[in-house]
Amino acid sequence: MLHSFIHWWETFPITGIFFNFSYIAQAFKPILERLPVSLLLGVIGFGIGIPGGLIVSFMKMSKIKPLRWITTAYIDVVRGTPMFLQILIIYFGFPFMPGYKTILQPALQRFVFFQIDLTVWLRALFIIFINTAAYQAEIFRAGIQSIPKGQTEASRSLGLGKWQTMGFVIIPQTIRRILPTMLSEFILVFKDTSLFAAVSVLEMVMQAKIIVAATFNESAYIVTAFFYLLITIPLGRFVARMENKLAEQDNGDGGGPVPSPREKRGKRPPRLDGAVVDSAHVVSHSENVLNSEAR
Amino acid sequence: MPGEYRSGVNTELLRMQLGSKEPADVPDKVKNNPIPAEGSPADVAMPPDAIIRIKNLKKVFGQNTVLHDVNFYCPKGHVVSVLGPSGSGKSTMLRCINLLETPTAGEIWFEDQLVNSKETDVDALRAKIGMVFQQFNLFPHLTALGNVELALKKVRKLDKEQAKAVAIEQLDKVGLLDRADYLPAQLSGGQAQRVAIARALAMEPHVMLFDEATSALDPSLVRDVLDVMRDLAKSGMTMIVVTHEMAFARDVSDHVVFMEGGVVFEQGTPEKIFDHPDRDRTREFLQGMINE
Repeated sequence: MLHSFIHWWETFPITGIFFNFSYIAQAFKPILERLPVSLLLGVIGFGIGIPGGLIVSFMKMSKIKPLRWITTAYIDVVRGTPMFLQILIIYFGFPFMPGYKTILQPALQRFVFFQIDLTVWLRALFIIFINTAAYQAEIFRAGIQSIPKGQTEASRSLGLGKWQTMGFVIIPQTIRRILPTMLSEFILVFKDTSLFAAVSVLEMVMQAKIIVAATFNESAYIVTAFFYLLITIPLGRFVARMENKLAEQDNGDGGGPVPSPREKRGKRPPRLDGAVVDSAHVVSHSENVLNSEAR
Repeated sequence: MPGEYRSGVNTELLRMQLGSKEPADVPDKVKNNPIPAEGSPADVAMPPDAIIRIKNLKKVFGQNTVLHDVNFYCPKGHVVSVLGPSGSGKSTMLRCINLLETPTAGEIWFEDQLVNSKETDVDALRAKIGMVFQQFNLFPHLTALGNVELALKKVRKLDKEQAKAVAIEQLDKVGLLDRADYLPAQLSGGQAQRVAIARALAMEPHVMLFDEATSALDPSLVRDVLDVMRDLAKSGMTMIVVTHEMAFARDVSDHVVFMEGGVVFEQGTPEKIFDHPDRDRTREFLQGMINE
């Protein structure tokens, strides 16, 4: 009985091609072995992006005009082009840099982690750094600028210097406001590491492509999706909870979470006084308004 | 003459408050007004030992001249109250003293130091001038104690224990020792403002500036803050107080400055300003405030 069910499942066009038990079992281990590569690319790339983004955000808020121009151009270019294209340009362009083939490559090629040599790690992480630093800079800037001016004035009037004020008064308050947005940014970076399959970096999606090409069965992709969801769903839930908590504490002083630079610019959902803000609530509220108006 | 004068000033003020179409001619009109002896720059002799001396202070924001010509001084240990309608430039004047605003022209002297000079060490100057804001501006991520301690550690470079001892002493003075571990969000407005006063006092400032310190408070909470300010005045602190609290200005201050339209309209002892001001507009304003 069970045997005949499995036979039906694995030969039926949809279940057999996408959710084939034997192919899933076969793909599970090799893809799990690639999970650390995707995670390391995401975590290290995002991590080195933090100081980079912070520096870029300070440059963008600088009084020195040329610094602002450079950072504006950089952020526009990164945000205005697809990451896929950035990967192609930098990954294949990097080896043409002076000193790469003579010094960097011979020195780094010997070190191999997870079957990927250090030159590949370096190029991939550099691309993620360039990409996420631009987005993070916008998050930091929005966060810093959301702190009321009175905080700076109070701090400066006590005799604290410009950078002391930044470090002890503004940044600590900024962190709380940008934390959910930064975690969302991490989720996006983590998912975008899949694009490195285009240049044959052996992370999860590349491994899945190899398996699918060999087996003519899509189940390996489903296994990959499962591993992505394993990371992104809990993180996403955590972000939503933090955002709600921040919105609750927002007393109309703009203390809510900083909007993501990856989201379309637009009006935030209207605040309902005393109500916990979640999007479902807001939608149902506005629907009620529309309905009552229609009547 | 007084009646004629009054109507002239009123239209002019209206224009200034609503934003004149020809801002360039406003200063002239102010200058051309007959200014009574008390407020005129020539007659404000500045004793060189006065701790704050403001001479011909002018501040322009873009097209908008907020301060035309402000002159007054504050001797050590005195309390100067600055009164006037909103938009008269009181706060801007106060913020010029610790360079939160940069004066456009004129001189501000603090002790023997020209404040608005290029050589001024701004941070060192501000450490000696305490300021209390209308919106308290407590640091929301730090407790009441942490708010007071921050500048003690980072500016006065006290070690942990010393900073804590000083902070506790100051919180005790404003009657909030039991709130030391509360975050600003857990404090009432009056308590928050008293913490802000303790935070400024902990730096042992030579002068305290109060920028409408009670204007954002519920009426029931104003008294606690004013009591702290009264005690402070009694203790001999030099204070410049921008306020709408007429009773406080009258009882506590040694000198009252009435500002209007970016100039010192009239100044003198509280008795003179409150009981027999020279100018009708001063009387009008004060009566309006007291009746309120």
